[in-house]
Amino acid sequence: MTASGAAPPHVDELDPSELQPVESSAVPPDRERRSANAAMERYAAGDDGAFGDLYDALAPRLYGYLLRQTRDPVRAEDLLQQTMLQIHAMRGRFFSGADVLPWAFAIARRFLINSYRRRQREARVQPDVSGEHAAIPTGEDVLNHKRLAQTIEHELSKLPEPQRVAFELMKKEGLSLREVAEVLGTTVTAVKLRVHRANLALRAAVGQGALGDVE
Amino acid sequence: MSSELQREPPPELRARLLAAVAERPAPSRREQRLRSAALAASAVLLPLAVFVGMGSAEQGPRSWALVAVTAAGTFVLAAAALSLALARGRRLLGLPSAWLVSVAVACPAAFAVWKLVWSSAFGEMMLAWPERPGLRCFGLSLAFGLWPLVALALARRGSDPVHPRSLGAALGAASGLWAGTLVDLWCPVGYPQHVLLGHVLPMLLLSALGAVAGARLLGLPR
Repeated sequence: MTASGAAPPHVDELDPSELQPVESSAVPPDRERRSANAAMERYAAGDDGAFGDLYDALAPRLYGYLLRQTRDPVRAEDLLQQTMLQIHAMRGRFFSGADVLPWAFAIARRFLINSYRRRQREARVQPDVSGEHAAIPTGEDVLNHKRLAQTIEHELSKLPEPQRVAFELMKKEGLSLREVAEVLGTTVTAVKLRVHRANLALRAAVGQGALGDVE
Repeated sequence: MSSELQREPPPELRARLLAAVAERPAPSRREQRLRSAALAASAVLLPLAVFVGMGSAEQGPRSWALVAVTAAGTFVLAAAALSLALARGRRLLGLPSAWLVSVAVACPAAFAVWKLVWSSAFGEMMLAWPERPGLRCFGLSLAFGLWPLVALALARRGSDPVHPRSLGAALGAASGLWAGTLVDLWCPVGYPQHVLLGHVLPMLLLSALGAVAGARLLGLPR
């Protein structure tokens, strides 16, 4: 049982551009990262007031990640709360010069996995194609985009867990190869391989999807 | 609902967390370091005190050169295992799991090679010593290694969200090697069966115990 294997991300959150190497908006700007590290540094040094700044720097990214994985705002909020409290409890472990982002993602991911393990039976996610999503505006571009997104989403959910998680952390969360390796507790080479394989699989799927549309 | 809106956590969560954090302060880095240093010191000093209390090093039929070289090598391996287990660099999450498992397995193996190679350089050290099969060394190694393992696990408690078992195993190996250093100073026996049963096996057991304890102590609360 794995975390992401049980909960694929929202279809309409996937953008075909995410298949490209991410150096764009998904990547946290250096300034944002620096401010997170600076806030964590102050907090670890004993400045209790820095927690608010740390929250502001980390919470939106962590929440976005957790929400994509759970597709449940309540659970995402609960997991974010656990993650931030754990960062608080472990603040004394942070040392100068370290990067808080991979650490925060690793904690969030672990709570996510624990949560899935606890709630295995509830982890089955219903396909989210009803309700508001059924009322898609007409127009060929929108439909094609939806189809493409669905194809990618479908293929992404079929990838083996290690490939999928590595792909998502890198392409969606904007973590570097080294950071993803840290979060997953593996080597940079292994992450490269996983992301490469995920890319190949998704590119093949997108090609097939496009062909299917034409036919 | 747009994905931008979805990405924002509920505003009330911030206030709730700030209140929770203010209510339950966590140790700052300085306090954490003091605690960890105290536990690490106890991991080294407690077995050492017991060792000194029971009479410290024993030469037996060995030359002091052999005592020094095998014990020093074991100590270096213990230090290396501990450094690798706790290595951080700029990373908070430590080395990959495969490295930590390698430390847990390779360090005891390196000790066995070191001990046997040096013992074999002194011919009579490889002769069987039937009345000392290694059971006493086995018990002593476990006894000396247990507290360091517990102390190190407490010092790193709840700190590893990625690979707590592997970290525990590496810490177990480091504890076993520190215990092995002390036992090696005391034990003059060097034939292979004794070394494997009395010295190497406890190190591997402490690694396994470390893996079990790591899952419970070093990982995040469930």
